[in-house]
Amino acid sequence: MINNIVINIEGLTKTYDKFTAVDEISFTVNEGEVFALLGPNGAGKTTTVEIIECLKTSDKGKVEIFGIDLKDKKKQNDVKRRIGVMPQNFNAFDWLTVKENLEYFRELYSSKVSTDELIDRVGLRKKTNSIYKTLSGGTKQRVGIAISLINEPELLFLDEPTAGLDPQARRETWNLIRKLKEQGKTIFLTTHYMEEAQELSDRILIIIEGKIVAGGSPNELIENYGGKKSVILKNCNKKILENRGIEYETDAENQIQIIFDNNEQLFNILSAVTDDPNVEIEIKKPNLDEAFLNLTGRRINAEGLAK
Amino acid sequence: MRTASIIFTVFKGHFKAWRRNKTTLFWTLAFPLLLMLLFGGLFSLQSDKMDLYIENNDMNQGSPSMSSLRIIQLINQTDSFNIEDDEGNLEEQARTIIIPKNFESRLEEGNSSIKLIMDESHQTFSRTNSLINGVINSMNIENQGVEPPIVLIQEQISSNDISFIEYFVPGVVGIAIMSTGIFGTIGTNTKYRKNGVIKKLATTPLSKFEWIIGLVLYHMLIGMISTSVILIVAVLVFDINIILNPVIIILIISGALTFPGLGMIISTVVREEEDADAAGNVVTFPMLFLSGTFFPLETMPTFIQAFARILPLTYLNNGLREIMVYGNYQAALWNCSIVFVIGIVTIAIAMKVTKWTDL
Repeated sequence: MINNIVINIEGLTKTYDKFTAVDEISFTVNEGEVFALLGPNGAGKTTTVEIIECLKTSDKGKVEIFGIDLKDKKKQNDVKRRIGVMPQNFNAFDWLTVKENLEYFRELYSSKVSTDELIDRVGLRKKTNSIYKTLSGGTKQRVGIAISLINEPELLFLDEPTAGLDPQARRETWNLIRKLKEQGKTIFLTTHYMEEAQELSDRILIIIEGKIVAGGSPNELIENYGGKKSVILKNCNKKILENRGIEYETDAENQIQIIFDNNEQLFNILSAVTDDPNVEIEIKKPNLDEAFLNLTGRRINAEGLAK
Repeated sequence: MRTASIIFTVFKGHFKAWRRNKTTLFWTLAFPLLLMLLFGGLFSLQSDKMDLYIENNDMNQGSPSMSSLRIIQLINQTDSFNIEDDEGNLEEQARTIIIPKNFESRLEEGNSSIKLIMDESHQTFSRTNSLINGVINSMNIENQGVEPPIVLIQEQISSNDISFIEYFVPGVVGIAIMSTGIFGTIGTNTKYRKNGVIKKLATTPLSKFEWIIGLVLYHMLIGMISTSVILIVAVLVFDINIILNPVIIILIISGALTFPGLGMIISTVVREEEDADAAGNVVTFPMLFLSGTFFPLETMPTFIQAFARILPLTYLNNGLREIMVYGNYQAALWNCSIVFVIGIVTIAIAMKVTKWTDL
């Protein structure tokens, strides 16, 4: 199957005075996939996505959306009609109702989409006539996503769609994004949440200080950069392991960590400790967090800061 | 057609938001009213007496005749006038009484008269007229009830003397248009920029032109609503005469170009929503006090008068006053054309400096 490329970026660069926000990055996004740009705050994610959304101008490089070169300003309106955007920290019009907000944006696109249908699609039926200002953070995000769908876009941009939301609202937003994915939408996601990128994306591009450091599917990134699987043992007699010739490391809390490559090695470890009822066993699989740490030497905290 | 429909959507959105937000309703409607009621009430209480100029031509060997002095005394006893000696230009005086030569000798013949020179359209005309007639009746009774030996001759002049409230009301309308335009636009733009609305709008087919024109049309409507409310309350509470004319609408339109335009220009340099009010005050405060809202420019020092002439509110106030109070179309249109030109220039600059990309 030949993938249709909807976004083609080559050597994209953007500088602010002497600061290079995006440094010669290149990538493509295929039709129907959920593509995530992952990185800490200030990595260049929003600058990149805003250039693609026609909100910023690039200094260098090529940006093509649906084969249209964005350097051609006259054709930018054609692109705008085919994309849906939910900017970072987006709020709609405070004093309009959910429905009025949707109708407002529908008029701007001269769209034929039924606002009632859209309200049902994103699960906002009960809030149809509520004033936007009075909604909770999670519901506001839903409205934001609904607004970005008002023109039935072929390509949807969601910039940090769950930033600042509580865990439940975040899960609800993820479910909504999954539904859109099932409907075949191409989704360009920017996020600093590892779990979000891992849960939702088909492909992830990790960006740090304006440069791409790695890319691939979540599994590929974990496999290539996440390190090995390990077993963590608590309250374990080290002699049992030594007798069996199992190599181990101990951490500051005197926990034992044993790295393994395959099921045979795992079985050997488990059979060594299985007779001791005091031993607590935890099998640790590498995740995107580990991959990110190994790639960059940093972790991203909840606020999106790399440490 | 599509552009018109998009502009209407923007306009409608702003208007609905205005209608539902009690804070903006207060600042656009209640605040100008409070200002008018407070200052109007304060200055109305100061004095109920009207200035009356008396030109006494009935002199007997260099001294006023006894009868002329008596009629002046009776006028004084009404306790309704500040009596001034007549001097200077008649047109600058709201009401003048002329006691003719031979007033006393003709009184004896039973055919004397005094002349009241006043603008009949002036709000105090009927009160003045009845008071002077009352004085004449008293004088006639004193002269043994003969069939009126003194008659009152009225002469029509146009007068520039107006009460404080008449002067102030067009200024209140000017303030309402200015403050709604400037504060409203700075507040809207900084808030919408902060919460991503402008960014979102910029990703839609909506153009900068359509957004700005929608905003200007909204301010025109708000200007008309607040003007109507202010004028209705002014007439009901202060019983003043307001001359209604389509030129008022043209003035509101011109003001609604100028002040939102200024607001948009200022909001390009104000980055934070929290700074919006301070930035608005920097521009509106000097205009509020130096544009002839409360006091005529002529009462201010020359350098302030020169400064006031570069302020758009000066021309809006002048235009509104000329048409609403004096009915002077030519002067109103002249001021209106100045405000309109300033409006077009500020909107053109606003279109240029408002950012729709690289926000």
